[in-house]
Amino acid sequence: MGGLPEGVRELDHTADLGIEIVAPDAGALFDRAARALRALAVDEGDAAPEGGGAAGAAHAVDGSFTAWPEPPVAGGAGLHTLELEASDAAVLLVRWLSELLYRIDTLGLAYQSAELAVEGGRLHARIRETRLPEAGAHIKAVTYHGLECGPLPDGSWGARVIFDV
Amino acid sequence: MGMSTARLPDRLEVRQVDDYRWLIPRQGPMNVDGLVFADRRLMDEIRDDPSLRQVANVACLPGIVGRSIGMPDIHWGYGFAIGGVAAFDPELGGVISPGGVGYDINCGVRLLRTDVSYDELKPRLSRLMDRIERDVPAGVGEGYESAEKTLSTADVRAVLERGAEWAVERGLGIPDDLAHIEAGGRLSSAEPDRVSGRAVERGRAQLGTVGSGNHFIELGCVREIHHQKAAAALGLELGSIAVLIHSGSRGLGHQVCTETLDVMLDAAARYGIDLPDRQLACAPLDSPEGRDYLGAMAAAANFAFANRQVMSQRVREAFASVLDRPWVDLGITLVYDVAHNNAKWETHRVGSEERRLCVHRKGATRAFPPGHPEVPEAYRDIGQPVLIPGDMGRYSYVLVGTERAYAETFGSTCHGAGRRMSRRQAKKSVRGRDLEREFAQRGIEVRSASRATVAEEVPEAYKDVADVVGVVDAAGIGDRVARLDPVGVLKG
Repeated sequence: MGGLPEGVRELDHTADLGIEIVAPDAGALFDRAARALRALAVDEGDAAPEGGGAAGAAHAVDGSFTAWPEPPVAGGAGLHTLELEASDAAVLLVRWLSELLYRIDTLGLAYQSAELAVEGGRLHARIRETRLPEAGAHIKAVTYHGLECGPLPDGSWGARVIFDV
Repeated sequence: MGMSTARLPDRLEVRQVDDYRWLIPRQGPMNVDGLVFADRRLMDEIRDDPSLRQVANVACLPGIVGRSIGMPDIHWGYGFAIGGVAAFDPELGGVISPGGVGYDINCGVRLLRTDVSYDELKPRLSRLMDRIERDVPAGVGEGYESAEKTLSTADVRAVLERGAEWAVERGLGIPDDLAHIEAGGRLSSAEPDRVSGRAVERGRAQLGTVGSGNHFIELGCVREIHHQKAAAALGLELGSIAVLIHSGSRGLGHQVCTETLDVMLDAAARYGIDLPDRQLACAPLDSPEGRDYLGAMAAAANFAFANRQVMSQRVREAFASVLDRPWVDLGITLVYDVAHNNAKWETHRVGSEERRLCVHRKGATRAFPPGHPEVPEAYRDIGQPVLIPGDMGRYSYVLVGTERAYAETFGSTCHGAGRRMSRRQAKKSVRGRDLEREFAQRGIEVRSASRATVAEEVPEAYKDVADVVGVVDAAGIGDRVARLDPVGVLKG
């Protein structure tokens, strides 16, 4: 597993795994959370070299929860655009990480970096991903348990999120 | 109908009732009492984590009846504690909560018995474990590249509709297996159309796989018999080999739970349900959101039944190949398959009335008594078999359900040992030790997709399951039948 990014600390819970994150602003916090998820979910030794983003996403996932697709075609690394909305920043953080986890676990595509705009329960991201040698994750779900996310008194952002492993 | 906004007191009142029962009397916004089964020693450990408060939180949910129950293996979970039972009445505004079922919908255990003695198997045990490891994928990411294990969309739909029946129709098992699975291995209330495309994608390559974490396939030797008549009815003989399989609905169930929590957070707000923890997100049983989840959950449950059915057939074939005899001749029959993460419609007595309730069991096993119509014919006199795995180094137990469990816990009992160390602590505690050798010295052949998993699952990370089973046996909510000691373990 790779190291955790700056501003991220692992919590110790009886059955599972959690992190606390601090960052200068909401966008940086969502980026750090995404990197931490990758570090904890993927054996980083396995990651393929940078794909350069040329392969193109063969299997687009647009957030649709209803259609039953045919078996997924292993997608290449590339840029992926994502828009999410939620009632508040905490729920938005769970949706964001759940989305990225799904992509690791099912498509074998892992978050690398993103242009991120997070404001008022809305997120817009252009995500750069790397292709993993195989799909699968050591984390099974992102929970709402003990969830916190929001601005701290000094204006920076903080969050706590617990994963099911 | 919304919950009062009153909060639970900072210090919960907990009262000892007898040697094995602790009452959390109604306080603050609780609608019913909490009841936890434990002896004093287990209670000392339970008090150290937030699970008692979680039992009280569940008691605050709308429409809960009877008591919010905690088993002796109770420990901290998301929203609901693991080791909890709660029943809800739709006519009282009762709710369904995906957090009260768990992410791994219909996670459960099945037990196969054999005519093979440990002495007979011993010289070939290592080969058998190699074979099982080869034929039953375990760990993370397994099977993804294997086209043979990737189901078509029509197959997934059939699995979600028909559960273990689907596997048996495919020749993966025999019709008699179905009579020895909770609900016949198929929940007819399944609605595959309520399962999202994403959940299907996550599960598609995972049928017939163990997964990671605490899931396993274990060969155990029957070392103790506590209840002769029941052991005989279950076909368990001293010195013989039995197989335990512990797994669930894999990524498919996780995806159903993840998506439903999202929907139910909004629904709870709309129905005016105040949540002390977001992970308790729920909706009334008779609401569209509640009904959608019940249909999707039952479909995911069927995936889990089929998953365990496929694995048990692979194990039978592995025995046949290594022992060079047809598996039928080795007497490898299914004793029982029972879930410990689900919510089911059942009829129970509340006060003086029979009520139709939705019983949530999260890390708790159904334990119906002798004579209950849902107990397989062959076990009608002894009660429903209950399978309680321990840690990978010590032992597991077989129990049967009791009248007392039916009356006191909606027919439920414990489900396992319960962790006492976090995964991180466990890994730290074994640093520098040669676990493979330690297990070999104990006579246990371990196979694992990941060394880290074995470190996280090291025996001392768990409570002693004998303590947990001792409490349910003494309290009368489970009747101990036999003890199995592991000789071969496959982990994720």
